[in-house]
Amino acid sequence: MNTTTQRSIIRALPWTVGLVLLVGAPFVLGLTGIRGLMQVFVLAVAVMSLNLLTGFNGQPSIGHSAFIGLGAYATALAVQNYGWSYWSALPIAVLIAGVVGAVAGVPALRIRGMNLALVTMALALVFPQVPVRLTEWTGGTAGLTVDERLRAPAALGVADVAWQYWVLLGIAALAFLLIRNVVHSSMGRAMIAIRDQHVAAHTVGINVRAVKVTVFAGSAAIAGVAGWMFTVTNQFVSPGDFTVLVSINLLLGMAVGGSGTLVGPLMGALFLYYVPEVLPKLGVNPQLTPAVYGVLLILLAFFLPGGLSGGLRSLVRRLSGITAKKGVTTPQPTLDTT
Amino acid sequence: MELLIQRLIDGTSNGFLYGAVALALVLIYRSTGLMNFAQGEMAMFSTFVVWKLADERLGFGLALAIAIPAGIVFAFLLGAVLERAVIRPFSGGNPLTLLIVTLGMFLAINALAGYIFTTDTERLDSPFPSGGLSLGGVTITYLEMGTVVVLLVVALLIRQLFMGTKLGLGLRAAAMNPSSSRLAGIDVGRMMMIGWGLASAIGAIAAILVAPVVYVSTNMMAALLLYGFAAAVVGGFDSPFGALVGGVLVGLIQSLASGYLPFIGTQLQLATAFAVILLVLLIRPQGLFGRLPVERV
Amino acid sequence: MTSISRMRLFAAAALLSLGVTACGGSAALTGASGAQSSGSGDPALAECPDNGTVGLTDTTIKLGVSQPLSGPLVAVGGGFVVGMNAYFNYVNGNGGVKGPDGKQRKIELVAKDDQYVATKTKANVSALINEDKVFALLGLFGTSGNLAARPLLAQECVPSLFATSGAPELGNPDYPWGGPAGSISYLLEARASGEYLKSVNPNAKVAILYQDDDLGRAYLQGFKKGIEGSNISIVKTESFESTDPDVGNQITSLAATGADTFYDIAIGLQALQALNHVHASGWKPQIIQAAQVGLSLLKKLEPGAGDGLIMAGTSYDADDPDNADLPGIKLFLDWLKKTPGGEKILPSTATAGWTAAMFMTWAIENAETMDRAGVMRAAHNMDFTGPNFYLPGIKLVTGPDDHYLIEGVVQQKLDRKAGKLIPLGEVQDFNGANPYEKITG
Repeated sequence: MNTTTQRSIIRALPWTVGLVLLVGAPFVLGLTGIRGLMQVFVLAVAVMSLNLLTGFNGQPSIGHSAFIGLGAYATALAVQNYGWSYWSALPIAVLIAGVVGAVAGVPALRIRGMNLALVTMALALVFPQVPVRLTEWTGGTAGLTVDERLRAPAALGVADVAWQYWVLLGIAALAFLLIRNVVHSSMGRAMIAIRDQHVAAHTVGINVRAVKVTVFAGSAAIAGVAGWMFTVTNQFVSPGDFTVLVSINLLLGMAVGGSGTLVGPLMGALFLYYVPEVLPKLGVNPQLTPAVYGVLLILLAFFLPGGLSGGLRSLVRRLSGITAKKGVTTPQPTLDTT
Repeated sequence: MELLIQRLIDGTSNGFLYGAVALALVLIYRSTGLMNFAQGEMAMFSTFVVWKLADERLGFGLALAIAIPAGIVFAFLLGAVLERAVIRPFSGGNPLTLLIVTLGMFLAINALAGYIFTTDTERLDSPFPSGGLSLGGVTITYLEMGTVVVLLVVALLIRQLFMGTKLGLGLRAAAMNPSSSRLAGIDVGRMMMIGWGLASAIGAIAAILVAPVVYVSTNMMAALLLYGFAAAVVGGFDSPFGALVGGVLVGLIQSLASGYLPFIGTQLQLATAFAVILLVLLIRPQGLFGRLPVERV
Repeated sequence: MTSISRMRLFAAAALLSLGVTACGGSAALTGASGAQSSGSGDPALAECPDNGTVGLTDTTIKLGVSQPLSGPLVAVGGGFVVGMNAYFNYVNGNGGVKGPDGKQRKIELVAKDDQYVATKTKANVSALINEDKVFALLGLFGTSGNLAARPLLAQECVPSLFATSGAPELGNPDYPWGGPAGSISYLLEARASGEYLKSVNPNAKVAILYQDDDLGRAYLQGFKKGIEGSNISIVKTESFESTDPDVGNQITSLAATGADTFYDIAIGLQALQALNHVHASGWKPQIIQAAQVGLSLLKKLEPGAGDGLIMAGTSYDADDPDNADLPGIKLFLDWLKKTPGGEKILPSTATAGWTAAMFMTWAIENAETMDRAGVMRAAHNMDFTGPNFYLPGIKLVTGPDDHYLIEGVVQQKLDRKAGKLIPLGEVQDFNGANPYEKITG
């Protein structure tokens, strides 16, 4: 066995083990544990979608809660008010979020950097008012309960929750593979070029406008998938679930995990779900959870600028004796500002 | 007619408050090139300090004449300390990190204020007499008048500071070209701290003036911040004068739209702010009074 | 069999059927996942799993609650849980609650934080049922949280009683497990205000400010019902969003009508803003205030603002020293002092939790069978007469056709100088005359 295959086996090993453990989780964990992991998958896809736009393409968004909300509401309304199945609602959720994302991406051609962060934040602030404005249809602030659940195919003979879990796991894995392939394609190189050298990207012949709008739409569409997953998990939507705080938390999750990396969003999602669960058990007043978030984040940004995944990578390197070449540092993702 | 005049008065006095928040945002943008999403929370925290000093039941019961200046000084120190301890380590670094750091500050300050002070809604007295002048069907309160006067004075002082003093020259130089300033012997770090301190103090003044209307609570600035951003965008993010004008324009748009456009009505006020931000950034990204930056490779 | 172990089993079955693809046994297993009949003949129980005594031992009973224990509403949720703990301490101090099986059990309360986010409430309810294995829930916070959790309660057949919400929807007879709410319905309170106005000013011209959501709409619907058949006209309505920083623009528009009555359907802070703006504007209508703002908050109005406003009341003010010797309040204050966290809070913030715990204890004591269905049925067949905070004449009664517990109010007038709400007359009693209706507005 040559060293290349050996190395690729070593690299694939943790992934395989992790996937097997996740697939097998319903046989081991109780209902609460499974439901928790489902929430993690929703968060993971949400952070992935944000990371595609912000981490890889340098377009900041504090508005992803709105895209997730669109997907979630589209699903809930289609299933509850119009009697569609969850599966037929999925393309609608993706389409609506994607189209709104494309529309939002057009002004983003002119508005960049901090200004874009501001516009998307305003979008996130306005979104929760829309269902309230349409109370007769959406249930308003009281929310909308979806009576139907995503049911397991009868032939499988498994509990619905287990089936929902596997579906969500599968979708999260697909989203991960999709983003990985995009990032490694010529499209991905164009995205990163635009992020790092906006004007230069123009001069080397990248169609900056097309790439940016496409990425915005794609990112919003994936956020719409996260919204679909949200409704499958909770069978309930309300404006309070899609506030600007959700967007801010997603950004924090992305930064903590490591923005512009593939694994970062997974770690960010674990962080976002389990830290608030664990803190009260450590005796921290739940009121202080956001403060702990904030402080941890600032410390991480300072000591581990590559996020947890960056830190993990350098740790693995150090342990496996592979030293990083001196003088060469991985460029940190930045905003497309100037 | 009276109703129209009343709406114009409402809109103008609200607009000055938006303008004051915008002024704070603009000062920080000029000095660090950063949109400070934690601006509102810093102002809220400082207002809680004023409340704690002044409140008779739960605080120290000091006179407002002492509590308010103390709160503004606290705000200045808070801004300076945050710049030095939290922002400086990332300066010159990547804007995404800075954006996320200010969001982290937003969460941390908000939670700490609730923990240290209270999550209840508390009342802070107006520094001006209650009541107001009534002419026909139109009323203008002393608080509204006082707000406009105080903020005009603050704006003039800021202008004087930047244009007429050596410190102001240093502040402007450090913001425009830090490396050349350093060569010229200006302590850029100190200038940054002062810039943040000033911005924080002005934000606190705005929050203290708005407190008698919106009360003191951990989310007192949540909605105001967006209008402040809208005002800064309208005025141009690097123009202190534009910030106030932008604020008044946003206040008037909001007041008139809610009065005379039935669909927008009072139900989509935030959407009005959103539309203003979007339109200005699309049509005139530098705002009314700002300068357009040149793109460099 | 509990639902978790059942799920594990089916998951295991799935693995088997994946391994042995020709196996036809899995379909039969799916069939078994249907509900088991409890055999009681009650349609509400027909689809219940066999779990009626989960959470009980011979000496303890475990109850659960979800409230905002962090975030902007932490003061509300925190006070609520302290009040609950105070009452359960009192019960446990007397040996515990005695059920119909004659056993006396100490009450254990598990409190979870939902930050006032409905899906978190639902997740908490799921965890309380499946992980903490509570017998029943009480005092769930917020309309959206209660509605989000409701299907889960019906599916698992776990009672969730005396919720902290006035949404009329919580009296929907199709959802008995969601139990009667612990607060008066918004719709009924507004109807009482309308009927009161009809009696004192049958030709009133009313300007209305309302929060544009399910709460505001329920109030509007109730008020219109109350003024039916009178000459009262609504001359203008203005709405606002709970996220608006100020409601001054709306008050300017309403003041311009010169209406003689102003109905302020706003909560907490925005109610104060509206009252302050009315005061500053020089408009002097008779104000009717929706009872979504407590006296302790009304004391934070600007001097003179809100004086003489009329607000419906259901209970005594626990903060008023004059009331400290009333039997219900004395017991409460004694135990509040002995409960951790009770010293620091304003007593009125803990009364709702105390009351929910008190009703819950009554439902356990008066159940016909010591199981979940028995306690749920008792809550729907109440006649509570013990010492409490409610104003005399308010009946605490539910029945087969009466799904609301608190159905009476006394109109009160705010006296700013005295810092008190002064009763204006007798109880308006709607007991049994308050059927469930949907909000259509």
